Amino acid sequence: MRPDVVAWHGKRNVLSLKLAPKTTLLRFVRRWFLLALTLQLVVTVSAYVGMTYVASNNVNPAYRNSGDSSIIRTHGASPIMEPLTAIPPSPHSSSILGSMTPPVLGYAVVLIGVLPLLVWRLHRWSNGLKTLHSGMRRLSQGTPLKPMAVGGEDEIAYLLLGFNEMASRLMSSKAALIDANAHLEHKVEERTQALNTANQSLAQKNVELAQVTETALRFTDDVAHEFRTPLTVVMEFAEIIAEGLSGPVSEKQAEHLQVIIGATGDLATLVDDFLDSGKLRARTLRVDRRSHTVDEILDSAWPILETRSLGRRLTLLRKVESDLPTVFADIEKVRRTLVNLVVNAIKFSPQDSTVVIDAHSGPHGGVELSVIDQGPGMTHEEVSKLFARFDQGHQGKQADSKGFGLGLNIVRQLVALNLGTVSVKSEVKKGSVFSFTLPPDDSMEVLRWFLQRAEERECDTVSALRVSLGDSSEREDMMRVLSSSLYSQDLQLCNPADGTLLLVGESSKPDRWRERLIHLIQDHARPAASEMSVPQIELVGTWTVASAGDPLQSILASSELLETQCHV
Amino acid sequence: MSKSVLIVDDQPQITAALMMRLQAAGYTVYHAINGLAGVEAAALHHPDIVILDIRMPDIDGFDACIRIKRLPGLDHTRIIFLSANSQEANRLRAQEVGASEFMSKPFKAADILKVIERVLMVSASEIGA
Repeated sequence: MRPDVVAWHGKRNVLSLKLAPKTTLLRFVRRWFLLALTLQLVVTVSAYVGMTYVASNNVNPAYRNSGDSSIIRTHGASPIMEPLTAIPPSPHSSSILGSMTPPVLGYAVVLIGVLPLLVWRLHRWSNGLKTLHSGMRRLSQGTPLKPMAVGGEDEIAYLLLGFNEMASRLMSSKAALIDANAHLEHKVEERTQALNTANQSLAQKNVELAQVTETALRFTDDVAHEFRTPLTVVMEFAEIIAEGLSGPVSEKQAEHLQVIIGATGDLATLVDDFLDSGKLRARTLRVDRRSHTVDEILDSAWPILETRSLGRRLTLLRKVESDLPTVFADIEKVRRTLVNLVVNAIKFSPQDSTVVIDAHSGPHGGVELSVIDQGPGMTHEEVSKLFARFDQGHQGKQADSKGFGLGLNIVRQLVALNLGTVSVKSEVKKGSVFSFTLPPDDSMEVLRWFLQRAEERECDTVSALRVSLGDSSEREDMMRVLSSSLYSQDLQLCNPADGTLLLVGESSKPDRWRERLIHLIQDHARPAASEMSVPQIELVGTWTVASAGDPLQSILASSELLETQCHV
Repeated sequence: MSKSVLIVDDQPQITAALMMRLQAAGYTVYHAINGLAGVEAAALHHPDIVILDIRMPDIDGFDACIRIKRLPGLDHTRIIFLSANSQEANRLRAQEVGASEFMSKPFKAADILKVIERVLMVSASEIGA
């Protein structure tokens, strides 16, 4: 409202000109001059009347002359005081009137003449002040105000004029303020609406994005299905032929068929790697960490490992240390890691050699699985190159890493999902040992391993949420829903003792994470129309990873996790 | 009397490969090319083992499994899932609908035979008990 402000200043300037002191002084002088003239007239007339009265009562004629001369002299410059001092009081008066000397009578007459004038004046002033007061009151109460009637040109009139001016300006600025307020409200409403629209479109985009991700995931699953089926058929028929089920085969033919079978197996692994690397990049690979024994893991991987060694003259050995702890891992990921490492070992193994899968206790109460080959080995430089390549993200240059590219990169990521690390020991002409670690099934250790991996990833902050699960009928459902919200590297620990679930993840905004979880549960509950109640989700804390010891202690202290058992 | 196996898979090549191997091992083998045909074949032949694919054109393997389990006179029938999709979620779902085993493609034929033998052994001991 800049123009109004300018106009307001303009008006003020006009007002101050009107009430300029020079103008006021001129008016003041003129008015008092007129008043003095009137008073003198009154005095002269009353003096004359007084003289006539005294003369008719035989007063000394000398006084008459002096009275005359005084009348004549009143036309001079100094009028009033002269006759009053010139006439001395008469000591001979007998009646009341007669006792009054002419000058005293003059005073009385003057008083009688001036008094109404004064009363009239005072009346006007008080009226003006009353009007002003009522105007001020109305103004302060905020009632609409008409300009007040101004009579005459005295100070009160000026006061009223000034007041009118001020009141009208106040009213107009008030109106402008109301206007501006309304405008502002309108603006705010407009903006709010725009914000709402933006929010809605954002939510819509989110939904679309989720759908696209879902479609992409389904697509990769479809692709996996489409690839695996023909691979199965090739492998199956090659084996049927090799075993002589469809007629006799020569030894040479059987050997070649084993090559086909082995290569088909490698192709199947490659398909898995290819699909997983896409999911890993999108961080959508699901991780299902549970408690497993090492034997369980090796049993599940063994048939696949045997298939891979088919047609190559080498021995696959399995060595498991006794009394190994149970581990906390996604068995599928461990299986894939082992397959990759064993396929790699087989690739570089000479004829009639042995590949050993050795399970022994590892650091921090965990287990280490090693794949030992008797291949050509690598120099120290080659080994460091192998890992430097991944650290720099140069996955494209596979030529001089002897075909490790995708396979070893996947291995590293899969092991990281199980909170472990990969290491290589190699000696030229003796062979290589590729090892990876798995955390023990112990919440304290699992958390420590998780924080170490987070630190290595250079993640800054870690947050933990505690979810109080409902009764057992909802629990499994809830855990599945919650785990689907987690990124691959996040941690989900369950404490069956008090029915709580601890979620630990890389997040500096746990509130937003919490909101996401609640939305997810609500979305899940809606289509199924199940009565899944939103569980209590509370924030345990947020920590910077640099001080790994502190978050570990506080997460454990507040969650009171005694043992990790993720089987519900 | 030989044990009978019903293969329910929409991929004829896989069915053919499995049939050859199972017949060579002495099983009586039936096959169906989709879920509903599989349920009908199960009702007709009362097989000891049903090998189910998950992804099929009409009803999926889980649905077929639930329907087969509801059929009368099939208390001895055991279900084995054979799927190209070995995700943990599918394994869990297979357990939920009452399958005895879950195998992923590509599979090794010898393993299928081992698994079938194991399932039949467990089944026999359960029925015997």
